[in-house]
Amino acid sequence: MTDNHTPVPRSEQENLQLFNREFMPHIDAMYNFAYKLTLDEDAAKDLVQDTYLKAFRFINSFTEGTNAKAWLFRILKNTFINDFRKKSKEPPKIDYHEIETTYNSEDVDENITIDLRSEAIQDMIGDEVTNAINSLAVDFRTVIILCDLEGFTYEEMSKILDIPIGTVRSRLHRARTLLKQKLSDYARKMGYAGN
Amino acid sequence: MSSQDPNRILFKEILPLVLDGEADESQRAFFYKQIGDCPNCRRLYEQEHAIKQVIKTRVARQQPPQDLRTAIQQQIQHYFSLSQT
Repeated sequence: MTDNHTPVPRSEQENLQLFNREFMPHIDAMYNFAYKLTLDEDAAKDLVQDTYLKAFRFINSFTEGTNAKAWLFRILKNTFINDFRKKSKEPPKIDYHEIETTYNSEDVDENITIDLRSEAIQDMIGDEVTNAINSLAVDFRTVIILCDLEGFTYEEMSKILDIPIGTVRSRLHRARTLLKQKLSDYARKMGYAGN
Repeated sequence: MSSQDPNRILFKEILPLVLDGEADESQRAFFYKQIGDCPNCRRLYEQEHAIKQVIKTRVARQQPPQDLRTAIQQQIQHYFSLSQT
């Protein structure tokens, strides 16, 4: 993340060492994130390469000791929006006003009515859950990946996505409700229906 | 107990905070009391916990192509050598 204080100047050689030490270890997570955004192997590879080149060009704005992975994820997400999303077949941005309304109107019992027993969830194999996540709109699958797979905090997600923490929470809530509905539909097909 | 019970409404708000490790001590205390008192709250917790665990442990990570690391390093070396001239 960019901080307000002035970064300590580093030599080009030091920057190269920093790049290899702090940024390269995240390549697997970066590729996975890029793939989840683009759902295309070639596009994911290009996106990661573009992100790493940008990270090196702007390495002087990275402060050592801060969260390199979150910094890289933020660049990747911005590169995706600016350079890749325009070319992709993703539908237009989701109406988040509708989401906030849904968030406020749901209660525990409505959530429970999505009939999905935890035993059914535990029996699912990864492919089914992966497919269900991939079928969510990109903004929803992004928050699930960042939170549940990568373990970023709400604050880190807020910085990566450039949205307030309240929006992180409401988007996560909506994403999880949609995911649960998809898993429930799948469980019903597999004979796990409870009623 | 009504579904508009304020405790249930509060539980719904706190549940993701607990699952995501974002709850403070008082929120966690409320959460544990509520899953003892409210069977529906407990079921909801078990459901959401199971989904989070399945995502964390069973969703496959897409493996990068073998040449990606080399491609990035060559790209950076090239950029670095240009910046040195």
